[in-house]
Amino acid sequence: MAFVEVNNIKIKGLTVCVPSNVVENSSYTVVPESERPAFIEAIGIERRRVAPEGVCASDLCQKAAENLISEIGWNKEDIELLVFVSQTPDYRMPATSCVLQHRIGLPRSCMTIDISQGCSGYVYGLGVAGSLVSSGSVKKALLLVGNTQNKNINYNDKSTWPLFSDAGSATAIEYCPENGDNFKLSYMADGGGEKTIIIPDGGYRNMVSAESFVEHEYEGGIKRNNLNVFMQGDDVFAFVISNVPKASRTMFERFGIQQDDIDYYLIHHASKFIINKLLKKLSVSEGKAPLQLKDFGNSSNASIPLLMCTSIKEDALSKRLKLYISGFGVGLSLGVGVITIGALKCADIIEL
Amino acid sequence: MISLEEFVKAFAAEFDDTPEEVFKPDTHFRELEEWGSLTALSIISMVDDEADVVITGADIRSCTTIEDLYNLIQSK
Repeated sequence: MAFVEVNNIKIKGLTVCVPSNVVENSSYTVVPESERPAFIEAIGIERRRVAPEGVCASDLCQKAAENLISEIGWNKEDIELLVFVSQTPDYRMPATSCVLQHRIGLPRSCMTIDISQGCSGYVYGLGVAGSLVSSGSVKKALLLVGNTQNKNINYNDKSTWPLFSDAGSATAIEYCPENGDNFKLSYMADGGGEKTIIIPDGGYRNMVSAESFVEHEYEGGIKRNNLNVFMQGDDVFAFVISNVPKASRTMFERFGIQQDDIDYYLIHHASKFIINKLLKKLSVSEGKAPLQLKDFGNSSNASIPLLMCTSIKEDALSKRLKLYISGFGVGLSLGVGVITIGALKCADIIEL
Repeated sequence: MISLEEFVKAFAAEFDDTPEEVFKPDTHFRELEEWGSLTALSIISMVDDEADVVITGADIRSCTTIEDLYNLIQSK
């Protein structure tokens, strides 16, 4: 486990932007109508936000960033770092963080970094952006984290189509040497699971070809091509239950954290099944793990900021909180941590 | 580790619609009508609870009968 402790920083505020377009799983015709209620009950997801054509993760993050900057009253000229965490960038090149510097109107003196992480991305982003700010050389940073994974999903793949929700988030992190927040984070990677969640074609290993677009049929009537997301759900589940509880306990021990002191558990919304199992394995008491699964499904790397701007918004605005966070999935990759933040100036959820 | 008989019982308990008497050590569980990705997750979870062993999706796919799976878990 890699441990990262970040001090002398403060999260000033955050904003999440979701597409206004709502897709109801009750209208998913691939599952026979008579089986749909039980199917929806089993996955726990009733509806999702889906970005229309032409709306990218960068657009959602940009809108979130503009709202955030105006709500917390930052001067754009002072922002020296932009970190964009996503697996749905605008282009294969250039880096989307660079494009966003110009689109948001940040100064050209800004350092920009793209990080390619999915569901573990928010924890990774906090570690990287937070560490760069904590020395004080960079005083204000924007962490933009989001995905529009629905663009890669095949309608005829019932193992992925009903799950994902698109979202973009913006988190403002500033240097704060006194009475600041702190992040206690821990990471691991298992690239042995590279094919557990994958879009096989379109990168440089398997470049796009005519074959990439050919739809194949798989077990259970599932259809997809090699530019669609493939997910081996049972292997994701096995990875999560064998690693996340252990990684969390190791992180608690390493940083001397008492679980009783944690106000909320913000667990990545992978699926109802995974969340319930993790809550049990981590012995989380009832009411401490807010859920937004029903209306927002799996928002990938924006799940954690989404929970902060919805379920615990009032608390996050009014007091200091100790929050357990965990993100895990594609890579395979995971990040867990406990962050102490609070009295945010902004925790808005907006639409595009 | 629980006995084979107890394991078959625990296995059956993860199914809602298939009657318990259908489940025998030699049942080809992946051919059951109720078998699917969600039942596979339930089995992984049950094995974790009962035997403190995490099996993968690939492990399940390599087994034909419930007894195969029981033996695989014992070998872990």
